[in-house]
Amino acid sequence: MQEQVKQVAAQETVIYKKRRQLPDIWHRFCKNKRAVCGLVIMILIVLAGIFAPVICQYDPIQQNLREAYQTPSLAHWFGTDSIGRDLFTRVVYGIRTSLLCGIIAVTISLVIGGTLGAIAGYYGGKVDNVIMRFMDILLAIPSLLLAISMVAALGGGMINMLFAIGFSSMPTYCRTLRGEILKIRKTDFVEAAKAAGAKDSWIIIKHIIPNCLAPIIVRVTMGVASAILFCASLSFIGLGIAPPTPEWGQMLSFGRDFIRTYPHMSTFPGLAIMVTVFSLNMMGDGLRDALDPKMKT
Amino acid sequence: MSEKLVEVHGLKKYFPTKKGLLHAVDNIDFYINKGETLGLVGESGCGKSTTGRLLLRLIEPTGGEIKIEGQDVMKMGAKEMREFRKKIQIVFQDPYASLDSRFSVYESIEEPLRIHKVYNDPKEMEKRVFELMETVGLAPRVINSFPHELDGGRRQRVGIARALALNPELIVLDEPVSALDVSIQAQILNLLQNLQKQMGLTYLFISHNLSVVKHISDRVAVMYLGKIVEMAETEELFKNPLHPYTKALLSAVPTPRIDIDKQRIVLEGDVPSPIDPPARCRFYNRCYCRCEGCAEQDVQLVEVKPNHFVACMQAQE
Repeated sequence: MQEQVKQVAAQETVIYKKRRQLPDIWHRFCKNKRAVCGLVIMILIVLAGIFAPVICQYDPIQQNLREAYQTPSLAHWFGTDSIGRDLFTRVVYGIRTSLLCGIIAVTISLVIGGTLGAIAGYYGGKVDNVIMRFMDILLAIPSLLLAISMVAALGGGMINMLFAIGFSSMPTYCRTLRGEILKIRKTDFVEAAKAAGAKDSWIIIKHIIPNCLAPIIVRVTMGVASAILFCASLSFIGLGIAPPTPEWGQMLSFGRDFIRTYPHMSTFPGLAIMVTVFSLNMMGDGLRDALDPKMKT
Repeated sequence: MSEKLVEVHGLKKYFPTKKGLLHAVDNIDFYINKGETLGLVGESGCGKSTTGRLLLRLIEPTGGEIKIEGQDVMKMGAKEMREFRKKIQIVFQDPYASLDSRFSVYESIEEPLRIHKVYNDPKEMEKRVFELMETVGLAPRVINSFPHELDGGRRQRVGIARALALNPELIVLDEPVSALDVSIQAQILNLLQNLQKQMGLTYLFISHNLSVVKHISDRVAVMYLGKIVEMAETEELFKNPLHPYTKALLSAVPTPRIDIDKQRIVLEGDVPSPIDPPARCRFYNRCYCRCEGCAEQDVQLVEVKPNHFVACMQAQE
């Protein structure tokens, strides 16, 4: 009897543990098979990009006309292109270019667009109106056309292209962040914190930022995918990354001339784009569900 | 008992709209004695919640004076106000929205303590949080839970624990039970009453539920369209209502008896727009005992009997 009492007492003493949300989020993420699949593919892709020199035995830029126009074989897994470069090597090295472009372009649009959106959402009124009308103007122009015209005006090259992509995809980030902040600013828990005597800085750091982080992470994941597509599209029409550097879009356009006779030349870079974008989007979808604490575990 | 904790004079809040000024709260006066509960009733949109928020200065008043413990809240600077916030706390209507879904129960209750840096030692802080949870009747095991893992009643208890954390004098209860089940409503009301007894708290209880207000309040103020139309002790007000609006309101309360033949006063028309209302009795167009004099000027809240205030010319005569 006494032991029982002791046991009950032992159960009742609960110690406060800082409960991190990460394990919960990870648990929810793992439940989504597609998302995990996307994550695994992305990890493989990133690893391949990092260890490209180890994986590939050829040089991505060196021409070798004796080996030109080869179809896929054991020596050249993805075949070779019209000037004898190994396509597998180029696709693997292309990961570096594409991911880097995607990440930098998204960072640019997130920093500019996000800051503007946050300002618009937090201050409201006239500032909000001016910023959002400007974003509406940007939205009214098809973003690819905007990027093309910007690159045409600024001149080609990687940095100009990244700025063009970043600038033209800015409105989405601006709108997302503004919407989130507007929503959170009006919630009762912000009001409750204010009533408890919290300063603005406390409310921003403790409540507003953590609560808009989730949609931003989701946007960024999907944004990287679309920036990679953008980058490939611009390179395809010759406005992006200059030829010797391996880049998927540019490889696609290079292989376009031989598409009837040697379809592998454009198939593999195309597949690489597709797989990357696809797995990033799957990951983003899974993240959206996982980051919402209200979703049932 | 008669020491006044809160005194409000001529409190106003006008919201600018495209059509004109919306008189949400228009020139109201009231006081709350230390340790009592003032019930504030009225239909939706009459300015009850705005009044509560004005008291905490969550919304800046357009004009008027709020004195709490003799100090003029309106004249306080930002820093002073933050310090003063310890004394007045609020419990919100919707316990689903008033807790940050990314804060665990511990973090939610701890937040006000951390804002004011009450404890430096994390052990003491932890002790205090457990203590608060016990006071509001939360089992210690929920300490690591997130709000979405709790039911409405427990969440509201977390909200109350937060409000109690800083040992306030006055708690504004903004419809604290209207989002809950009836069975849980009773639990929360009892909890609030017990807390009041133990800690000598003063409540401003905002509600549209007359039965609840009757149960918990010492005095009741009735609001209509941004004005207080009647204010009296609960028993007096329910037994002997003077304002025609109060009478109509009370006649609408359902009684669980069939042998009493109750005369229900049914008001005609709708609540008029609170945007730029004409300077006459606010109730004029719906009143069933209006006279010519009523339309000519605004009516003031006058003490007709000791502690019974009414804003109606007929009743004042």
